[in-house]
Amino acid sequence: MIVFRDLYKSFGTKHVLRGINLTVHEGETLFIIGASGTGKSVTIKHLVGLLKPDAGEIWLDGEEITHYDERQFMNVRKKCSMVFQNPALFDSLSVGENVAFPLRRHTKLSDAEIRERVGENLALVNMAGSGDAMPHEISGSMAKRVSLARSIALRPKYLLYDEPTTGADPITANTLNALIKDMARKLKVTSIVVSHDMESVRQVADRVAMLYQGNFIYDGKPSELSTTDNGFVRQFVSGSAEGPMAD
Amino acid sequence: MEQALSRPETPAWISRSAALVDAFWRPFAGFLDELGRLLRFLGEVLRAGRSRHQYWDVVRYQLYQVGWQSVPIAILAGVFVGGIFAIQIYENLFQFGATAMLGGISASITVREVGPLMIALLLGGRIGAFTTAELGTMNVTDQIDAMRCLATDPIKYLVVPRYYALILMSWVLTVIGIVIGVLGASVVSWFICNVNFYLFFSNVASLVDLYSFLSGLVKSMCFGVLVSTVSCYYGFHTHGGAEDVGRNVNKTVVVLGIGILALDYVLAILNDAIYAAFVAAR
Repeated sequence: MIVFRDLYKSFGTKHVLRGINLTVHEGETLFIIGASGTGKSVTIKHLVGLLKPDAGEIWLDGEEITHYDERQFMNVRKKCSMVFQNPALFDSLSVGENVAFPLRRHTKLSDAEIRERVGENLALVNMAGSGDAMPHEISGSMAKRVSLARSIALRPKYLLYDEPTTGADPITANTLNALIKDMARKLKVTSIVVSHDMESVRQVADRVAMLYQGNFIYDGKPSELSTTDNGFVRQFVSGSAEGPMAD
Repeated sequence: MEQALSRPETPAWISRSAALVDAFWRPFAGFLDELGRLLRFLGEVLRAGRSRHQYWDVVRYQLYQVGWQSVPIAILAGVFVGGIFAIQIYENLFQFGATAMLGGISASITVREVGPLMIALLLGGRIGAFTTAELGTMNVTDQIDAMRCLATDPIKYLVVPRYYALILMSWVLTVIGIVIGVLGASVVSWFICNVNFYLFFSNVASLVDLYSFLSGLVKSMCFGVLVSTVSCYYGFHTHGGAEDVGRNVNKTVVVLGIGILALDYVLAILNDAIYAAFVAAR
C-alpha cells in the first residue's frame, strides 16, 4: 500500500502540491488526472525519490520513505518501477540490452537465462523478436512498449506510468491501454497512471483521483466522474472551455 | 512630517562605487560557486568510486572509447609537435653552436611539459566535448532518471568508469605521445637540420631523468581527473533541450582549455618546489 500524507512541494514561488492526501491500495489501477502543470508527475516522482517533498510523509508497504537517501531509494526502485512519458531508452544499447539492463545489474542470472527473460518480457509487450534492433530503428509506440518491458524486468510490485498515451495516435493509445490492463492482470501489479486522457481512464482505471490547484478534489470510481456534483471535475471530464476552471 | 522621516538619498559616487564593486564581485562569486559545485561533484564521484562493486564491463568499454580510438590522433599530434619543436629549437641552438643539445632539450621538454599538455588538450577537445554531449543528451531525454529508476546509480555507472578510463588512458596516450614526439623530432632533425640520430640521442639521457618522466605522468593523471570532472559535471547538469546541450559542450571546451593551462601552471610551480627540495638537494 502507498500513502501520501499532507505532502507539500513548491518550486520557487510556485506551490505545486499543497498538502495532498492519497492512499493507493494493492492490486488496483489508480489514475491521477488533472490539467497540465497541476503536479501529477511531481506526485509520483516523490515515490521513487526523484523529488523530495518540502513537508509531509510518504509510506510504502508500512514503511516511511520520506527521508530516505539515494542509497535507500535504490531498494524502493526495485519494488516501484516507473515508465516515463519519454521512452528514455538507452540509445547506446539495443532493445534487448535495454530490457536486460536491470537483470544484469540486479540479478545473478546467466546470459542464457537473461536472454530468455528478455524474450519473455518483449513478448508480454508484443515486441517479440525485436531484441537486436537499436532504439533509433523503432517507432515511438514501439519504444514506449520496450520501455514498459524494461520496467517490468525485475517484476516490480508497483508500476508508475507517466502519461503513457500522450502524443500517441488512437490505435497506439488503445494498445498501450490494453498493455496497462494486461500488466495489472498478468503480473498482479499495483499501477498508478498519470494521465489526462479520459478515454484511457474509461478503459483502464479502477479508481480516479483528480488534482486541482495542489489538492485532490475528486477520488472515486471512473463511472461516477460524469455524475459528480463537483463542477471542476465535470468540466475537466467534458473538456469544455466554459466552466469554473476557466476563471 | 513625511519628508522629515524619509531616508536621505545615497550620494552618486557611493552608488557608482557599489556598482563597480558589484561588477567585479559578481563574476568572481559566480566562479567560486561553480568551483564549489565542481568539487562537490568530484566528492560524489570519489565516494561512488570507493565502493568495492564497480561496473568493470563499462570501464572496458570506456577504455576502448577513450583510449584506443584516440591513439591515431595522439600519434599524429606527437609527430607534428615533435617536428615543430626540433625545427624551432634548432635555429636557436645553431646560433650558439650547440646543436648537439637538440635531442636532449626536445626530449626533456616533451617528457615534462609538451607530452602531457598535448594529450590533455586533445582529450579535452575530443573526449571532454563528447562526454558532455552524450551525458547532457541522456539527461534531457530522461535517460539518467530512467537509470536511477532502474535502481542503478548513474554516477557509478556513467561517471566512475569514465574516470578510470580517462586517468589510465591519459598515462598510456602520454607515453605514446612522448615516444612518437621524440622520434618525430629525431627524424625531422636528421632530414631538415642535419643532426643525425647518434648526435640527437647522445644527450637525451643526461637531460631526461626518471623524475622528469614521473612528474609528466603525475601531471597527465591530474589532467585526466580535470577532463573527466568538468565534462561529466556539465553533462550531468544539462537541463532543458538541445540548446543547453550545445551551451554546456561549449562551456566544457572553454573551461577545459583554460583549466588545463591553469592547472599546468600550478603543477609546474609545485614540481619545481619538490624538485628543488628533494631531488636537486641530493
